[in-house]
Amino acid sequence: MATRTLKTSILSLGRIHCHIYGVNVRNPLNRATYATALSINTSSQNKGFPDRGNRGPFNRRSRREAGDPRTDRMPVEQDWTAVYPTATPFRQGSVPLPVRMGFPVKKGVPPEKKGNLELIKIPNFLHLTPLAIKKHCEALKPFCTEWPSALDTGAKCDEHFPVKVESKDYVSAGTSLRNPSARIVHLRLKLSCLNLDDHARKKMVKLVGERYCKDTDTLAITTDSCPVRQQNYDYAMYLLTVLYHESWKMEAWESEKTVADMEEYSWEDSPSQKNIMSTLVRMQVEGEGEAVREELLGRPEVQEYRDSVTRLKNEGESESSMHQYRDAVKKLLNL
Amino acid sequence: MALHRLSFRLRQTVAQVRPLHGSGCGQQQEAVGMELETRPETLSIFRTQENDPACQSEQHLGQYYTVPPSHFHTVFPHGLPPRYQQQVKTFNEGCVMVRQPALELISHLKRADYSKPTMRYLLYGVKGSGKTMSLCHTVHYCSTQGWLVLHIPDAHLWVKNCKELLPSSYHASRFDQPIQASNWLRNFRTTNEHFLSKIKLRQRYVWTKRESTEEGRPLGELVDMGVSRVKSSSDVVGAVLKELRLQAGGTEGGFRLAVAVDGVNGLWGRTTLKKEDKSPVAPEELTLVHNLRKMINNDWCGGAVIATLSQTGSLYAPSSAYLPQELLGEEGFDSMDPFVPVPVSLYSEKEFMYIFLYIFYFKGFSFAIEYKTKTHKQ
Repeated sequence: MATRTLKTSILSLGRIHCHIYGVNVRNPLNRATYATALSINTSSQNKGFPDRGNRGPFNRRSRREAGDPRTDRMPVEQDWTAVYPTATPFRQGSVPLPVRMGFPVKKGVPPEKKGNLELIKIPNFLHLTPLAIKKHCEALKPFCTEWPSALDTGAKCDEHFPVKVESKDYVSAGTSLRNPSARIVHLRLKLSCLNLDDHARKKMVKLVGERYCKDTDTLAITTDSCPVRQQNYDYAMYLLTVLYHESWKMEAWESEKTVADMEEYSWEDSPSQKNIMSTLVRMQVEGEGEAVREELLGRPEVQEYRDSVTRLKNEGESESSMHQYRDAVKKLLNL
Repeated sequence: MALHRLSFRLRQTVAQVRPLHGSGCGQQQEAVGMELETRPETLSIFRTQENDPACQSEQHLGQYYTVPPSHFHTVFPHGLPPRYQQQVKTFNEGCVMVRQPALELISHLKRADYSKPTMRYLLYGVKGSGKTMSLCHTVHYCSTQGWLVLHIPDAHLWVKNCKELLPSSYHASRFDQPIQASNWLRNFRTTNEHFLSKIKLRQRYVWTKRESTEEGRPLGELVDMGVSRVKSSSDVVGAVLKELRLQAGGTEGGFRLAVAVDGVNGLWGRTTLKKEDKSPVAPEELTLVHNLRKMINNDWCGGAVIATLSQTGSLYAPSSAYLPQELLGEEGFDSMDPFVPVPVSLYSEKEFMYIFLYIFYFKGFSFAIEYKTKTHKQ
């Protein structure tokens, strides 16, 4: 009787923890709880679990309860840089966002952030919000010099400082402060700012090979063969100087350049020109000779034909270039 | 959405045609005797009665014209695509659709000046767009106009799968292909019977110590010799081509020469043939290819060269290639230059509708009638 009243009084109390030994009557605060095999009326039964007092894996008595997550108490105007001052793994109790991540099993939804290992595994940038970066900049400002006010546009920078040298510095706290990647030096410049004539430019492009990008007209030299950054920088500048001077030189064997070596197609002295000239000469009834050839070359239809063939060969084929070629041929051969 | 419009237009044409079918179904006996051509004009929306390619024009675009059965085997002993040949056998008639590329080519041929160096025309397009059929349409036009037609059905056949490769007797480094050459000569003879006695040779050709063909003999003799003596057939082909090149467009007894080459990109490129020491044979080392290349040059006059590109059957060409420079290569393009490229596109909606009417509706119905009457008779 006494036990019964005790039980009812216990059960009637709301969210009060009731711990009858080894059993959780209800699930307070929706926490994951251990399910046990013992039922309520087992004060006399043991079911194989010896009485270990207050110790043991399922001991609940003196464990401090976890409080509310921090997200419940975060005001909107809080200082986020205080929550995540450095790069830290994801803490679901500190991030007030209802993020979900993972594979939705059985037509469900991605699992929530609570207890989500996927969110912890991935890198996060919660420590790099714009406000945090502003604070970093403000902290670094005393150590910087001011940007020259005259260099306000990118074009002006390119004009006065065409050669751009880039290298990285690494900061880490570990057994050693050194980072071998800090020796790499990248040198970038546009070829249009160098004084190169046609032959020199083509030779330079052939000499550097992969390091030249045609779309942006940029030469990018990367040096990392020396152990010290200063040495790599000197080497890059030396390479640039050597390339420039070598491309201006004309070797004896360069005169043997064949059509296959040419970078782009030129219509003069090509089989196409010879064909069309011979065709046109045969179509004309008047005499032969240089004057006739010159006159034929000067005609606008021939110029159009030349443009269309050059476009076909240089730009590759497409429907539009084929149509242009077709119109040029038809006009030329009076169809 | 396009299919909706198509079916709507189809319903309209079917509605026009329906009354005839209604009467036909009830009277099957009369339907037996009915030929397709004698049906009233409502059915010929996709057919034209204009069977002469010279008289076809823009208004006939999309419609089918019939190649007269008498001409069929002489004009096309070997030019048609295999599927089309099957279709002709099934339907018992050769119907060709009048399409834009062929009409354009024919109009160029009509207006060209044949005293100038030969024009080269190149049909190009994606796979299955109708290049070979356009070529055949043009060949039909040329033969109705009385031209001499040199039709090479597929230049790729000459650069691959050749069992016998003989070293040429005429030129030490070249190779002969006797079987291909004699087959081609046989078909050439079928197409151009009437020219063979008219054209006389201008030069004496010596084949062996004891055999030669004298000057002034008719071309037919040369061709017969090539067909019978298979060993020297490749050289005969070379001689025939040379004679025709010299004599086309001549003032006395001049004829016009149409050189129609299908798959012309096979002439420049690689072959799959190997010499005895397993080194690959270049195309110019084959007599047939060497002579045909000379025909394609525009240093002769009095005719036209009509060629198609073909990726199917080509060697070492990617399957998505269809533009001229991709398939011809540098060398081929420079040899063909300047040429008039003629693009061939896939079927338009109107053409597709006409095909549908022709094959499924019209032909299907006539089959049904013939089958019913046959079973009824039995």
